[in-house]
Amino acid sequence: MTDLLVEYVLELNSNPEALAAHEANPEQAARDFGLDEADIQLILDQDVAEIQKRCDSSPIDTKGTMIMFFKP
Amino acid sequence: MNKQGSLTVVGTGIKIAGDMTLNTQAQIKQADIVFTVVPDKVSKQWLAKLNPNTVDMTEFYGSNKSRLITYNEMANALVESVKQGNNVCAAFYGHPGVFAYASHLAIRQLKALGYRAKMQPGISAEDWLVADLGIDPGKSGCISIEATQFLFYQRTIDPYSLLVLWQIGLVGDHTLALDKTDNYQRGLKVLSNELLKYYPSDHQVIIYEAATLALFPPRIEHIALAQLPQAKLTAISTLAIPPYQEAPLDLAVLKQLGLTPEDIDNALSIDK
Repeated sequence: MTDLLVEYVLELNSNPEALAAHEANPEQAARDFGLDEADIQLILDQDVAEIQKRCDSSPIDTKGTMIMFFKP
Repeated sequence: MNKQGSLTVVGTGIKIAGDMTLNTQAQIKQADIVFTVVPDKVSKQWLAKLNPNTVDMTEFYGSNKSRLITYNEMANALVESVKQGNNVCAAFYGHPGVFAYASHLAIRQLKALGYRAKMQPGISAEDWLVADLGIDPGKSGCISIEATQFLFYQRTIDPYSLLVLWQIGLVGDHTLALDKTDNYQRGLKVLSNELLKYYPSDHQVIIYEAATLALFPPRIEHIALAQLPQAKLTAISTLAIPPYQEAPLDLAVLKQLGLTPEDIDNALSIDK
């Protein structure tokens, strides 16, 4: 099932106009996109940990990264 | 003559969706099957929109399993799918040829077997570092080394150039099997001591993490080199060390070229 918050993150990553609108007024931009009140609050709170969790994006989990050291 | 089946390796960039070139998007859309190595649900959701027939290769990762085994399994999966006659696209985050053992291995193996296999470049963390930090690597030169390799092997650095050390959140780990970046303190202390052979303890260094989501800024943390052992790091932390000072002119070489230091200063001056 599609997560609308994740869709919003994708929109901000790929649409400079949407990002500019978000930076000017995050609450209005998120509301216009259709996010519910709880998700709007996450954005207003800049709740990095929770949003990263929703995006399945953990900066300390190496599963997402291609770790390697090479012989020079 | 090439056999049926092909591999195109593409990079999804760091900021998913925004960093993908038109060519990369077309390769993903037009492939029979897309194998992906991307770090988050946002990326997976975007790729599935472009082509629903995707296979998530991060499933090859396993707890306490060497990445060397995992990357060989990834390469095998790509090779076997091409051998079945598929036009395969492999989408790796960032640049698909940077810290991407599996992509290079699969291309080499397929070419040796007579299949078409190629790589398209993508936007890497290094590209974002240049943009976010406002550092031009062409100005002073740049040495870019994976942090653990820098420690394990006898490497020399040039304090007149920018130094970029990758994966400092994993520095000193030789297992290639860590699940979390929570065991770097000892390696970081040794790394700091090595760097102090080249730089003064108050030299300002930068801990950098590219932003994957436009919602949040990149991490750009300036600290003195002496503070490095206390830094909190993640799997995507990079250490950028600006040049310590300007390189002195090589007067002997200038003389051979019939030049003086004034000639160089004049050439680089805008007050003419």
